[in-house]
Amino acid sequence: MTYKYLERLKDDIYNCLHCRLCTFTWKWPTKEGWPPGAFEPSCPAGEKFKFETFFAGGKSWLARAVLEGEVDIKDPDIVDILFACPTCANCEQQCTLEEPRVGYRHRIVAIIEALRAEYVKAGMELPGRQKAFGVHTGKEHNPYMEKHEDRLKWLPSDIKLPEKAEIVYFVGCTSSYRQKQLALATVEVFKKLGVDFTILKDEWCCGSPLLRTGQWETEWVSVSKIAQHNVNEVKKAGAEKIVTTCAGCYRTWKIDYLGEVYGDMLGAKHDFEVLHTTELLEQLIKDGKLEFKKEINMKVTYHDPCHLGRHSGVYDTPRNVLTSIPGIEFVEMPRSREVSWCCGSGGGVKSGYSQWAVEIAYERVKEAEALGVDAIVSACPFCYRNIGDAIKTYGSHLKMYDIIELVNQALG
Amino acid sequence: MKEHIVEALKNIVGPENVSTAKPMRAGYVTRGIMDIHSREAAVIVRPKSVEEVRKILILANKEKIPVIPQSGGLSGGVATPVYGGGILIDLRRMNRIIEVDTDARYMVVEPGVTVAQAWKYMQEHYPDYRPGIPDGAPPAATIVGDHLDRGFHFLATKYGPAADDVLGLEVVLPTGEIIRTGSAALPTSKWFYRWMFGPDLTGLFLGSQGTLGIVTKMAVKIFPLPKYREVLAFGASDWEYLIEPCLEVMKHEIVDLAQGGNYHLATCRRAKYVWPPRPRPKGLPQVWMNFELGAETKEELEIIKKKIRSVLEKYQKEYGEENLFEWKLDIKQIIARLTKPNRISVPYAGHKGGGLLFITWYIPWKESAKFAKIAEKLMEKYKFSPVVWLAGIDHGRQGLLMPIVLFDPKDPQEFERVERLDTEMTEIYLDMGGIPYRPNAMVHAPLVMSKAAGYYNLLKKIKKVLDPNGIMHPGRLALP
Repeated sequence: MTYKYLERLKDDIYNCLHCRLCTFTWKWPTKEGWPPGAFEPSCPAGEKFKFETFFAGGKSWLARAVLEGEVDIKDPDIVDILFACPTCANCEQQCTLEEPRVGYRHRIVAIIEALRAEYVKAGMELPGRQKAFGVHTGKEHNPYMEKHEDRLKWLPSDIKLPEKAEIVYFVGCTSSYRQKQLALATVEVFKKLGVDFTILKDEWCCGSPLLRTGQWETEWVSVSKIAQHNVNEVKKAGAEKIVTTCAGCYRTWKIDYLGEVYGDMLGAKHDFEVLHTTELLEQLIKDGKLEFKKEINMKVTYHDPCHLGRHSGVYDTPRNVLTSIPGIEFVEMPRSREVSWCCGSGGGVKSGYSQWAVEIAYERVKEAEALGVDAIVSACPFCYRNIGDAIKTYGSHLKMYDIIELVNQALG
Repeated sequence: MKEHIVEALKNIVGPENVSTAKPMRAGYVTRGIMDIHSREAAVIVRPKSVEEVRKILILANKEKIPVIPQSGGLSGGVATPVYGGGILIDLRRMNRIIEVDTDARYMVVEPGVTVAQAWKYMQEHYPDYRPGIPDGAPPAATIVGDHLDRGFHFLATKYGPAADDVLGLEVVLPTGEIIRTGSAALPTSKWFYRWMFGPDLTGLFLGSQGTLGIVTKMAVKIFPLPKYREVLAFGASDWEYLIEPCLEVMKHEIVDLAQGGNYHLATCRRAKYVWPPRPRPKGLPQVWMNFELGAETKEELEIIKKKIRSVLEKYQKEYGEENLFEWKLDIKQIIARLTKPNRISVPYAGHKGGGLLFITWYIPWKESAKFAKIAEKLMEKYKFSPVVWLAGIDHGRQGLLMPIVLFDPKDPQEFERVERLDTEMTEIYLDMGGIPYRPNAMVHAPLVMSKAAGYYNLLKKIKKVLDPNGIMHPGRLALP
């Protein structure tokens, strides 16, 4: 059996020495003693299921065993090892710390996603609702079992948008169908600031949930077709920039459509500038085009969405925007930035292992509670949703916000 | 693995802590570090308590099934060799720090306590002390694993290998008896002393590589955290110019840790494999030795540095400053050395694609140059980068020499070439009087035991007494 998706990552797979550095967070000490967040567990899957194979090193050696024909990708016992992982890249982050020094990479998230794709290609059953959302996305272009025609229902009828504009606000499925308040807040902020933007009339899912769950080119959905459609739609809108409030869409547009892992496979390369909403806001603040009118007196912490932080390297920007809001008292969580603990919703975990996803988020809630903050703020509707679920499920007093909501409030 | 045995294991530790799944078992394998022949175990079992360990061993002994205990399994990477089949006992759930005594200066830990966990715990609760941790093994390595396997310790030059700092053990024997060694053998006594009356039964299990029983508790020394730390380094144009001055420094017994190597040790980290090896970059000595130093006061540290430099000056007069010199480290290099636990082992992984074998030898320090040069020559003969690391142990009474073989694990022929190199080097080193540090099963152990018949017979007798059915990690130490 040949494994074309795994074969192209062979060097990465064999680079794993199985040193298990991926299992702990690491911060290079910048002061006497250890910085906060050092040597905390890094891997939600490993910490939950404990067996070595759930950690990145174990998965790499599993990938090697698959390539060498020692393990059959169709082995029914493989499913949870492959899919019970939010692909948060904390493992990859710990491993990649060595990259500048040693010049090698171990793209563990890509390996995990390739293993998943091989599994799907072999006709095996996906966990939980993953296949169902894949099938639905093939038909209705969203993974939420909603109708495509309802995608813009959240948009108030009195808001008129041009056919063409400099910026396309790419709303994403989660904000379109679930966290609609974030879509609305984004549009209100853009309107208040006079941003020249529009929204695609025929926006499709960006493809992230499919890429993350190995549903690349299947009988029920084609992620390249999706990517190509979205790129064509943005071209039609005459835009130069794509702005999104969703960290998942951001990663997909900025990295997956263009990058070395999926770029060629998707055939949707583009030259649009891709910005997260916070990047646009930060620029407007720097240019003196954004002035807050109201104070928000609240002590908050910030949760780094994995797709914005570790996957895309955007750490300072959301913090800069958040801390520029008058009245905000900002406290950092011990596990922040590169060593941030994942919210647990990504990589198909929310749909495949929904209860565990909330358990992972509760870890984050507890970490924030210990700081005595009023709220957790993030910059991703998927994190918003899952951390919000944990707050509700476990009865925490914390509130959950997205930065865009606070910006909207502070603009008055 | 027979179904009734798997069921029995599930009854002991709970079904969620047993796996016979092929994909799960594959994730425990590593072929490299200490042994390139490792295979999958038949079942993975994860006990939580001494009692569960005892029940597993009683079952395995009754059914005559091989048992491979693993605390963290780590050296530079996962390094527990498995020779196919058997029960791999993953001890990481047993991760309690049971006791810390800052007067007798020890801590008692279970086998799953990691270096990172112990270091963090001491920082939070006993900031004036530091646990004994390996140098060069990742933070996920365990305190028990490192001490049990006589690990290279971050104070190994000062106090000897990690095993020398063990003050007592709790061991479950293959027959199910639970014994304690050292002072803790007496129920009324604490873990303050390694010896009971009679021979050193603590030492009996150290270095046994899982062949005699499963350690479920270990008392290890803790050490004061010095307020001032520094690194000095000697560089030299040849091993011959490095060894004698370093020995003299170590004889003063003022160094925490002395370790170094040849320039390939540094350059191989940064680039993919090239053959022949890259020329020495400017500014990097041909060979070097770092001295990690610690002191309570600035003045004390200055005195130590002055002493080391005086040795340097003395030998420079003899060898010439171009052949022996102080290598000025930059701040990043110093931080990298003094940061504990360190990440030092992982960089070699990328070299030529992840294959790595440590072939480590205890040698008389004075002979280090000769051993190192032979290693370099042999590695070049087999077309491997001649990467050699060297450390001084117990103030230079011993040298620990490690040729690091970096190979391409994607190529099966490279495995054969690694083994041929290992065999030739072992034959030569044994004739020269070296002792393998962690003998692998295929090359080192059989060759060593064939030359030390009396010792081997004694070892076999001890094994037979403690493990009559030969269930404990068969194959290790050339034991049946």
